[in-house]
Amino acid sequence: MFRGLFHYVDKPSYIHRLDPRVKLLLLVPILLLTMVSNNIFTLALVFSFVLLLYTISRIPYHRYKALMMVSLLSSISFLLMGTFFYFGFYHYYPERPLTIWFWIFRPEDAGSLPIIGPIIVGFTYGRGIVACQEGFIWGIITSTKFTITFFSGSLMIMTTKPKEILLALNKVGVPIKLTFVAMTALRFIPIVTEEWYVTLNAQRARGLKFKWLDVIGTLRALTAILSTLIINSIKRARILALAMETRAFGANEKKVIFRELKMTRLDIFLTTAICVVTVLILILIFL
Amino acid sequence: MNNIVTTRNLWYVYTGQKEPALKNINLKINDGDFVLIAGPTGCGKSTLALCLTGLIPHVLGGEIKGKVVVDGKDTRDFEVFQLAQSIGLVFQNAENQLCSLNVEDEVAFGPENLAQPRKEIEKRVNFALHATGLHDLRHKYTSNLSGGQKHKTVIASALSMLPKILVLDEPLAELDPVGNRELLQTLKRLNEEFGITVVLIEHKMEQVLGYTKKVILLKEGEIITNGETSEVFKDKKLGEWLGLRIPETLKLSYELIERGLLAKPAFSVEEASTSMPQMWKSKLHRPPDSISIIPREKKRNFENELIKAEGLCYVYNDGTVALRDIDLSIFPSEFVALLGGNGAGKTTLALQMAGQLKPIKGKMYIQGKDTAKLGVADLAGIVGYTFQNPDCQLFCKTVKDEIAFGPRQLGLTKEAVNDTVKYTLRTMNLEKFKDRDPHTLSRGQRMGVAVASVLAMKPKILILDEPTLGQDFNRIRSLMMLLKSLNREGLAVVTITHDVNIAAEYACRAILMDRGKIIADGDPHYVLSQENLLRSTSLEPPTAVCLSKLAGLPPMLTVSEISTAVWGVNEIQ
Repeated sequence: MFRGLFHYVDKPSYIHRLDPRVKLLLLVPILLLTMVSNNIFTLALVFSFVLLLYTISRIPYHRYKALMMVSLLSSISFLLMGTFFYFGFYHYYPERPLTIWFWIFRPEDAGSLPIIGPIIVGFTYGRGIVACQEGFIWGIITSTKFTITFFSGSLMIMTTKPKEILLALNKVGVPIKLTFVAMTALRFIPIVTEEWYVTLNAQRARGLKFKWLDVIGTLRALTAILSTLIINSIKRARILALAMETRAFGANEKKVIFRELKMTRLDIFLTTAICVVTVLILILIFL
Repeated sequence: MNNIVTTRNLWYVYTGQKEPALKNINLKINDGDFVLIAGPTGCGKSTLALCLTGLIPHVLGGEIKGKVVVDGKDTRDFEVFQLAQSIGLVFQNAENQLCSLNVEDEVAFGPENLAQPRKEIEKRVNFALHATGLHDLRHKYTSNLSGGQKHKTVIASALSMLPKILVLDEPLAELDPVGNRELLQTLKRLNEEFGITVVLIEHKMEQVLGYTKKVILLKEGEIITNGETSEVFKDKKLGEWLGLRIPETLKLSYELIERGLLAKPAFSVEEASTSMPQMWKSKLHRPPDSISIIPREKKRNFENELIKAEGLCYVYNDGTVALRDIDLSIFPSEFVALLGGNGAGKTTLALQMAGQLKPIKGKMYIQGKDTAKLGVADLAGIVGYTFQNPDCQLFCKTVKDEIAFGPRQLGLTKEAVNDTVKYTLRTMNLEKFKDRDPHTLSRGQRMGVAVASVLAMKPKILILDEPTLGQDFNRIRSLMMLLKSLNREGLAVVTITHDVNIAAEYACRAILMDRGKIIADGDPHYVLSQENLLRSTSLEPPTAVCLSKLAGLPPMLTVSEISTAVWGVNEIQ
């Protein structure tokens, strides 16, 4: 399930067709609002907007099921942490009273639990563990922020061809040499992954058992796989270098890029719209 | 006709070596030719290709003497990228030469680097895609292409530099029969329609000789002969002396020529069908209907089957159905060839036999044990498995360690491990390499080490995935002879192969698969003569089967089998 995470999903949709620069720009107001707002209502609104974009992009649910799992798990941990440790970790304004639900560990009880008691008290700045409403709300807000960031970033990756992302980065000023390295790396990732599995299986086929808690044995086996992968990659790189040499790589200072990014009318309209919205948000923040 | 490639007194020594890789090469290739360069491994064919494209000496250095002129350019006075606009080079493994994510980008890569205007790039890309027939695939991801398509993409990206000559270094080595045919037909089209001179370095003579007009044979860095295909191969001894794999058609031609039944050798079955049959049908020693086949299938002991599959099904995570309802038994000391086109499920079935994959439905038993309940490592002493690519299964520092790895895991004592290693090194003929790093050996030797490392665990059954891929004939022959002799001692061998001629020569049982099902299983005489079934899985019947059909004989698997049956000579061992 997690192997498909952060992969491009090919679908005919408006989002896919947008210029990657517009998509990058769209992230600005979304992330800006997410960062500055501490209001559940606003955050819910932004999150439903992101989900709306997912619907438009026609990405099938099973492709972002893994995203859901990751954000659900992290949301739960944020909630638990907020609820129980808010008082201990994040309550910077002691003059503001908290709505306390129930105590789990009072600092006075430190003596009753040997070793662990004082440690807990130390970690929570002498405040102990208590479930409070403010902490619960903090948990909800933080997990929503995390989820929005995670989802909107993934939307960009899942709806934009890697090549287009690199082209957009080129346009923003990243040098071609760097993006070319990134592209070749993307090209060879599936091959190296495949080799990793084959080598692992070859070891197992020759009787290697990965034993529970046998750290040294496992490390040794992994080093062997890695060195095999590295040797193979070096061999591959040599051939690739020769092949690129015969395709005139580096022959001309000014490399031309065949397929250029072109802004459509929709792109230009959206760019203006996004800019206006961003300015509005900024005005609202500073007023 | 003018010479498009000329070399004069060309000598070359690699940096750090004493022996020259090329000795006094004088070569002329005419504009519009289709030339084959052949010779045993290490004869300097690849070095010659690197010299022609200017990678030697510009990139790889070394010491070069003499002159190489390509399309009027002396390779020493021009840069590699300038020469690339006259001569394109394609290496053996297509996968490693693709640097872009999709086909169009790959093809546009060269002109982009030359900083051509966008209109010109568009024109060149369209031309290259059209010439190679890749137009419909232009927006496909390179990683999703088949082997043949990947190779065509590499050719297209060389073509977009608009070269007049195309040099291909063993392009067929790692391709299946469909890929072979696809590629050769593309080359033929480039040669005939677009007037591109093709220089093909290859040892798959069986497939190639029907296409090439001229042949250059090399040995130890020297040109042995150079001339028209039919002239060069008039001499029967030459090919054998060079260790080349003589095509079956040619072998039969020699037999017929010796008996004065044929004037000119034939290089493909099509050629043979016009020139051969009438001449020798009438002169058979025995009438065709009195000739019978000697079956190869062995008697089976139904009680101790090694591998047994019952209603086996397998589906991959992405939903591809790989195996459907397989029932199969494999017995001790059988030599099985597992055949089928791409995606037929051969490798999946083999992985199931080795316990590396578990059935989704149905059962797989290895020596009576259900694989669903066993780990891969538990089967290590019973089933030996070698993967297609030797490089991924070699992970130790020396050949000795590599062979000792398995026995050590099985928990043998130090002495026992040492004895096994010594014995295996001797049987596999690897003694002189025992302290070398396996990755520094040649591909054939690496495959040998991979097989040795599995044999050292003394398995009852050995499963090999495409062991002959990318190797020259000498290596293929010695590997198959070794397997055959181990088989005679009782080891069961299952080998996946695309090469029907290899299967025809060595197997005692053939299994043909198509789309996850077994569609034929039995004596190779029976399975390999099912022309329609074979063609439906995109395989061709073995050449000897086609030839015996031409002669009105029952299906024969090798030419020596034909001549024994017809003339009663040439004892088969």
